Amino acid sequence: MILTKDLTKIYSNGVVALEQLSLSVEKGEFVFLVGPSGAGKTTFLNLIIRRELPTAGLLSVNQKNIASLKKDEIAFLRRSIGVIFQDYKLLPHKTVYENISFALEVIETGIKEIKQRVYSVLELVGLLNKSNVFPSELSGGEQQRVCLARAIVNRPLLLLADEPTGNLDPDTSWEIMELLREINKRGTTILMATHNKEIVDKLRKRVIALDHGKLIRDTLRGGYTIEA
Amino acid sequence: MKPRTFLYFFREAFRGLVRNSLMSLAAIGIITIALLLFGLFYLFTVNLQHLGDLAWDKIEIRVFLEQNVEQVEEIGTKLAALPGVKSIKFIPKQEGAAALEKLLGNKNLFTEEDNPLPHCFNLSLTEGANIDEISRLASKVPGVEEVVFGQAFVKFLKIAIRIGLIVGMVFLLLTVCAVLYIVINTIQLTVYARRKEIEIMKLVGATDAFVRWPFLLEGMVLGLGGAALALILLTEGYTILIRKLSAYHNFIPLLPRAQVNSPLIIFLFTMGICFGAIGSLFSIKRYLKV
Repeated sequence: MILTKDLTKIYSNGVVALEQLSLSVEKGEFVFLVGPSGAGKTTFLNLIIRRELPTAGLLSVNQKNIASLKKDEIAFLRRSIGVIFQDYKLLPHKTVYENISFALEVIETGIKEIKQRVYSVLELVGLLNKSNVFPSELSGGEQQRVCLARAIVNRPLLLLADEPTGNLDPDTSWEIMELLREINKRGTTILMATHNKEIVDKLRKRVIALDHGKLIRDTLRGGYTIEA
Repeated sequence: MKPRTFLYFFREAFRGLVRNSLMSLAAIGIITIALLLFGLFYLFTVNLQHLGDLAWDKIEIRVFLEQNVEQVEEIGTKLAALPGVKSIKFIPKQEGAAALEKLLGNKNLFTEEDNPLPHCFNLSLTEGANIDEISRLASKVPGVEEVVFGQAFVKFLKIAIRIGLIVGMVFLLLTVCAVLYIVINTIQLTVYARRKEIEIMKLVGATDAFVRWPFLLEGMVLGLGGAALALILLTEGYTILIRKLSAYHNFIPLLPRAQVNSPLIIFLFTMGICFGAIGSLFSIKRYLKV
């Protein structure tokens, strides 16, 4: 699903965000990406959705070298990847329903199918009764669930989550994690960047640890730290 | 793209305009002012040209014939056939004498036998005719004694019309550039306010074309709105000006409203819609790099 070889990203100001990162993530895996702030987690996610271009090395997603994608191919790549943003990135003037259907409108899905899929994911995230509400009227946890619903409504092969529990209380965080586990069980590969030690330690999934852009640990059923 | 997608674009464009109604109104206002400026220069230039044409129409060449010349009709035919001559009018010596007597207020100045004035032809010219050349050719027609026209005035008029037109065209071109610049900058503000929306659209997999369409339609509607307002203000203002001028200064013949309406509609709407579209495409370009 994801393959990197000596992947390096150096920003124009000279900051080395990723340095010779080599790893692979298989289809259906649930992977935690951990490390301190500035370790390169978000840069890695941004490279996967081609928000950034690698400086050197290879990054392939779905067997496609993302550095050589053309404009429209980038759009098609993104349709196969769902993204949960830490700051939700919801459109404030659109209702919950519209925010989610928006991801289907852009790929020209038929109106009946849009309706069916949106209500299906709303049911999954438990927000059926909030479909006509605007994001500003929702709590942080609810907004994160809308973001999650939008990320999965396309039935993506890969789901990237950047600190999806970063702004949430422990109970709400676990609700989101349960949803992610459920989505993973349905076959979606999940790559989740997080600082949440409790969640990582408890779920015992594969853990990839970065520090200063370098891969320092890759453990199956790992914890947040080596000692965990 | 599916037809339903275009409906979606129109719906999104409409929603965008309504949602950002203050911004949209401000944009329409600014585009109106810019197009008003263009319209004013346009009206000034076409009226200047119109005045020049009117003055040109008044120019006549007077061709005096030799005394006692007999082949008057033949001379008239030759003069009428000169290139650039629109029409000719024969003024017999008796009529010339009567006109002169009337002018001087002495009715018994000339007798039938003692009239020193020659027969004369007045030539009126077609638009853009070469008056010097016509005058030269007319003077060579046998039986012609002298050819007279207001050389100094014609020279002045030619230069004045040319300068007026050049200045008018330069200002028109400058205002077109200014309008384009203003429209692009105005629409850039409306797009800037929605850059996050564009980013999200791109991140969920929208193609550049998909993101562009609603903004393109919005830009066109803003341009159309600005053009419509500018047109109303210009035509109504022009009507009032014509009314006032005809009441106080009857001698300034401005072009009638019906004659300036069509070009104004074409120019303003074309500029408004095209520049609105160009402004949108130009403004959105940088935000598509996500």
